[in-house]
Amino acid sequence: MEEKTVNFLKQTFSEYYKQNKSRIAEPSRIHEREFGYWPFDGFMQRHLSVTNFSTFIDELVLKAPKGVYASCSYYDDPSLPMEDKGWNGGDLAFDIDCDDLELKCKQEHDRWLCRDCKKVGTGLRPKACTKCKENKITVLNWSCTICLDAAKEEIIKLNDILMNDFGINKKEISIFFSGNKGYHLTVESSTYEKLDKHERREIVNYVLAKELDLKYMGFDKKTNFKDLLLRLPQSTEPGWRGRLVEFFENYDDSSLTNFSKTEKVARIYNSKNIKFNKLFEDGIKKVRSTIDPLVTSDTSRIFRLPNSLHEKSGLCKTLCNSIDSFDPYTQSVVLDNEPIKININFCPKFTLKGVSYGPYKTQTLSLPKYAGVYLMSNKLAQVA
Amino acid sequence: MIDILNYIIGEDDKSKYPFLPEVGKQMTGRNIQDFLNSELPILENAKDRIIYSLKNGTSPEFDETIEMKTISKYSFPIAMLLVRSTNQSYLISRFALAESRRVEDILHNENPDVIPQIFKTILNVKLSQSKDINEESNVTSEFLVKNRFKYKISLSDYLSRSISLPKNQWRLVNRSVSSGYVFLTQDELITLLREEIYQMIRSKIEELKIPPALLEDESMKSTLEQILKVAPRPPKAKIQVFSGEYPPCVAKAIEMIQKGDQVPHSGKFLMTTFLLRAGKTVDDVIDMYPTNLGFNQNITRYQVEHIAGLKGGGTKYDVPSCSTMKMKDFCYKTDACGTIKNPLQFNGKTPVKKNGRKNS
Repeated sequence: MEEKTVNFLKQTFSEYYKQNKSRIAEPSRIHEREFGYWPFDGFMQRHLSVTNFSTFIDELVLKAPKGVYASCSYYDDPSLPMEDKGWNGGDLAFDIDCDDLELKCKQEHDRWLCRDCKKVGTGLRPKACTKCKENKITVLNWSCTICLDAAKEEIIKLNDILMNDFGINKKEISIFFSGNKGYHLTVESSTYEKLDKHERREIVNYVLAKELDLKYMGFDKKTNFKDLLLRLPQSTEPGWRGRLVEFFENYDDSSLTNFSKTEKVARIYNSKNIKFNKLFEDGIKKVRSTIDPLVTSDTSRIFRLPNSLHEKSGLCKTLCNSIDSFDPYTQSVVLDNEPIKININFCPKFTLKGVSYGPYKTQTLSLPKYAGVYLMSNKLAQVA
Repeated sequence: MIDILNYIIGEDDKSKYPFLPEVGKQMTGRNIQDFLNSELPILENAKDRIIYSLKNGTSPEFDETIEMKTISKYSFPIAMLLVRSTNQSYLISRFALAESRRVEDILHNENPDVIPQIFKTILNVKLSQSKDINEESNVTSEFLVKNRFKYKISLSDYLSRSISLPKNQWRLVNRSVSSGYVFLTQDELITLLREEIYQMIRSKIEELKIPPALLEDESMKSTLEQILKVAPRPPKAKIQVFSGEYPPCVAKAIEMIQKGDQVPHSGKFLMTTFLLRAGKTVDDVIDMYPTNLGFNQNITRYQVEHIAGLKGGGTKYDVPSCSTMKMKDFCYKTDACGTIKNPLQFNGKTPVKKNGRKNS
């Protein structure tokens, strides 16, 4: 990124923190959390202890970092090296990223650029440049409304699992738009804060339905049909048993409409025409929540601070008070609309604050600051 | 009769579960000599109980007569004193294991009303019974009956215990979970808590302080001699341990495991991951766990293979860092450790592959 562009972004981020001091809410248990920030022109600063949040915000205005973070974990002394901090527990934290969802729209809006011959291609990254066969490829992982709607669906499923299965109170759950490609969910609950890494990994496997074994759901090829009917769960049962059986009950097959729900499921299982294992996998994908497995079990990770700016978009990490109606491309746009002149390399179509922009080819034009910063943060434009 | 919550602990329960505080209360203020010199053969029964346990790995069965129930109730604390007096952790382990197996056998056929009270009292685990959980857990009684679920336990209490159980059956994803609780049958509940029953009995023995005068008592001395005469000797370590080559925490875990000392899960996990990373085979590591001290070889094999990434999701577990071991209270740092961050770096032998830390 050109120095002129970096300086512009730095100035913009500094102004944001200066004008929005009160907007950035102080995290709970501030003395027990580790803080960190990542300057535009330096290395990540971690292991910071914050005693006065207002002073910390003043520091952000001064340093104008590209990312600001706080730990989900609580420590005796957050300023010490990791091994000496004294871990006392932590919020349960989940991350959903639309890049992990294998969405078809990525084929349409993602781009790759060969740094050698400058060829630009559409869709997922090839193993080598299709023109010069070199492997010097830069990828643009773009995201669109479809991507973020899909991520929203995953976070809603996660929220349901946490409330219904784990008994977590709605008041203990906070859902945030991450500021770029997905959502974060944190749980501040004394019931779960002491879970260690291994126990958190069990939570991850539960949410992902990883290692779910048909045998423990009553499905068994050795069982005769009559016994199978008795063993299969009902859709009213809690947890995965109920969820998956409901999925099978709703399977669309006209030859099975006259059977009772349980008999329909049993017949699907025994059918020679239906590939049950494939259907089972489809069912899991449909009802599970596709979280990032590494984030939840990593208790030493630091998370982007709510209401701080994301360096890859210029959008703000935003609390979603009502996830169903949340519009990330409107509600997380916090920079002003003062026009700025930028040189664009290329960019797919995007929508911010209800206004559609692009697609653009190489050109110079004036855009509202939030849109210009969005492109510059995505490395698709520079200050003219 | 003493009321614990809703259930009344009776004399029958005290002989079955002689570690209940109620038995201790009955003994409070009474001189140990009263039991040693009792008309009832309490000391003799304690000796037989220990010898049988050490030889057979389980406790003897007692007659159902009132006299025998009284003898067995009081012979347990006397047996604990005798075993403690041997000062041999191997014998303490063997006896605690035998007694815990006896308790397990009883619990499998116990009245479901008694079980929550027993576990609440001895392990401070809160359980609800199925008859109380229909409404609060939003499940039907048909579901509970069909699956023979008699209890529910809080999810965090479940996870801290199930994590060391190897079978897929115990993975949270394969359990019925609702409203923060996990449902269990009676047999599953006892399996889930079996390790703790053993640890509880073991701790009770280890915490005993033997009055010096008691060791001078002739009947005690003679009984102790008879026990030691027939007590099995600790097995020789199958693998020579050169503690100098291992970091002190790993050496400590190996030493404790092979002596039959009480080792926390974190110590066993450390030893297993370290030895696997140091190039030992799965079979070598399994051989480190003495089967005659209660380590079930099948369970140990599954756990070691799981840690080695051969079972389950295929995750190969890393050696926990020094900070983790410190947090788990299993750090035995010496000057030789220097500033290492992972036991693998001890003596500068093995570099630790660093995983990139991401921020979300």
